[in-house]
Amino acid sequence: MITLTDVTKHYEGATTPAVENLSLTIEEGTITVLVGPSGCGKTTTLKMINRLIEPTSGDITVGGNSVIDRPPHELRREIGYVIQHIGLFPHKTIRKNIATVPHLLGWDAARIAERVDELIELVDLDEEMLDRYPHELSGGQRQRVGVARALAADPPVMLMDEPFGAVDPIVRGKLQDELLDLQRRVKKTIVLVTHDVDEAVKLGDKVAILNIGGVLEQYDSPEVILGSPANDFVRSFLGTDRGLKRLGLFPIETLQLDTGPFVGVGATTAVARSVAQSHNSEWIGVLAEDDTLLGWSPVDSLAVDGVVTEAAERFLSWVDCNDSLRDALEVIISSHTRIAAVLDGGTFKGIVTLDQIYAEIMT
Amino acid sequence: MEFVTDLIQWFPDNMWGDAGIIVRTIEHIQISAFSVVVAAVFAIPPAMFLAHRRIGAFTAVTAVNIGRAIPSFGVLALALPITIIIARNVPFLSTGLGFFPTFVALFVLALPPMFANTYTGIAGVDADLVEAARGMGLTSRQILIRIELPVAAPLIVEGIRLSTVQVIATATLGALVAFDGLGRFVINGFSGQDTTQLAGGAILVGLLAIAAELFFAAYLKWGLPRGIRDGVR
Repeated sequence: MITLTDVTKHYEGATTPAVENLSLTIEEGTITVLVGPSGCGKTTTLKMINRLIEPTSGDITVGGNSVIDRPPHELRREIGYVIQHIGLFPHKTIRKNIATVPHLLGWDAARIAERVDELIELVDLDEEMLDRYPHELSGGQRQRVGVARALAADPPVMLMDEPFGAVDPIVRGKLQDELLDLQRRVKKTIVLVTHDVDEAVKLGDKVAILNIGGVLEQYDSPEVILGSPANDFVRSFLGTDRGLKRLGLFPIETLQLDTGPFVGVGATTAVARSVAQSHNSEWIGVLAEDDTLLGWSPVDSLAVDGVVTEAAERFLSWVDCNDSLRDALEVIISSHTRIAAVLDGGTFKGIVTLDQIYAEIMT
Repeated sequence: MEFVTDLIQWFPDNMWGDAGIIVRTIEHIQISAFSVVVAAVFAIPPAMFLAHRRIGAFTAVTAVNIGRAIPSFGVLALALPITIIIARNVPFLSTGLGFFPTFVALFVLALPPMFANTYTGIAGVDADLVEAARGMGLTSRQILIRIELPVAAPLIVEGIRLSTVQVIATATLGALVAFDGLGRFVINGFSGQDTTQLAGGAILVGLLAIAAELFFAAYLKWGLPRGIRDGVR
């Protein structure tokens, strides 16, 4: 657990404090995101935790001990630290980069070697990367090495300062997913700074929204913040697509899925027509015997009397059951069928309709 | 053509003996190496610490520029009377001619490139690297030794190379103040209108400077860690 109590940072020569009387409790084993516009003191706050910046007044504790009581370099060896540009040491191999803190702590060679192998696997990099130099890696790979290096001595706390700011959006999304996956396994207390609201709501168990001067405007789970912003500042900071962002937090699994106008292959066309009619639908979806989705056919094109043997069209509007309601909405509004079929692996689970999503927004 | 054949013959004829090419070359290398090493001790550590603490940038640059503006011949001329006076009062320095004033001039000449390159090299180390290192718990001293120095190494070595080549070339002037070395051939050849000797000496100084260049080039090519050598960061 990390606590900040009445923390103030007043830079010399500045007229107003960068952070003023900030109190915050960061729960163990969670990702807490500090987010806000530039000048809100989020990075200053982060750097006061490992004393890269010394607070002017107030107290900060990590794991129950005040950070002020300890020599900064010793404190920092127990706190993982990842920055935007990563700062891998160019003259050292990836292996040595990762081993930096264990080496400082005086671990023996065998223990370091074992830990490095463990970490490279944890961040999903190839072992042959270990003997390369930083400039020989891609941006995404360097980012992973940066995380591995921060986790090297297994610190309970990890601080991340805009860790994904310098990579392109596709890699960023992937690295964010990887961080969430990693966190499920390592359960660290992570404090992450970003200026990107989407990143904050995606990664944070808790999100702290800071205003200029380090004023804490709201501190809660992303669901609560998006659902009921505390004030106008938070509302405008979250943006006009607050509802959409919130939908992004709910997985489709949480919905009670509708069965939709679907029939198994081999059903009579008469049955297919009545199923379509009962759903008020002009098309009929066709499932294979193992419940995989074959496609859809317009009701008009069904034979007057016969059985459904195949689907006329491929089914393009589908989502995975792990996707979010926002993904489902995206699919629905860009499809002809105006529904999204939900698949688990390849198996058809049901459909999501606009009405269902709308009902969810309203709750 | 006669000049060329004479010149070619000059080298074997003057190779050995107390005033031969071998002895003069060794003298030349000795004073050059000594001057560069002593100057390095005086230039590199202060530049390292000042740059590490990011202080004195303006002072450093100004001092270096002044140092560069002074011609080496001028330093030699300035050094001579001073060394003679000093030598009078320090018994083991004998006359104050020869090695001592030459060394002073070369020492002063060698300082600026090494100081400037070390300063810019270390002050120019990517701030992200230093922040990452601090954030991981390296002490200030560990950051200097383990991060800043190795990363700045190419520039520092480049500074030593510049100094060395300048010193080798300028050590030739030592013969004007009764130091020997390869300059002896040049000065004697000049004053005795012995063009062969003059050219021979000049060629030897040139070769020595080229040898030094090659030595440092080899280090920069093969002696650095791979991440620094071809790292683009």
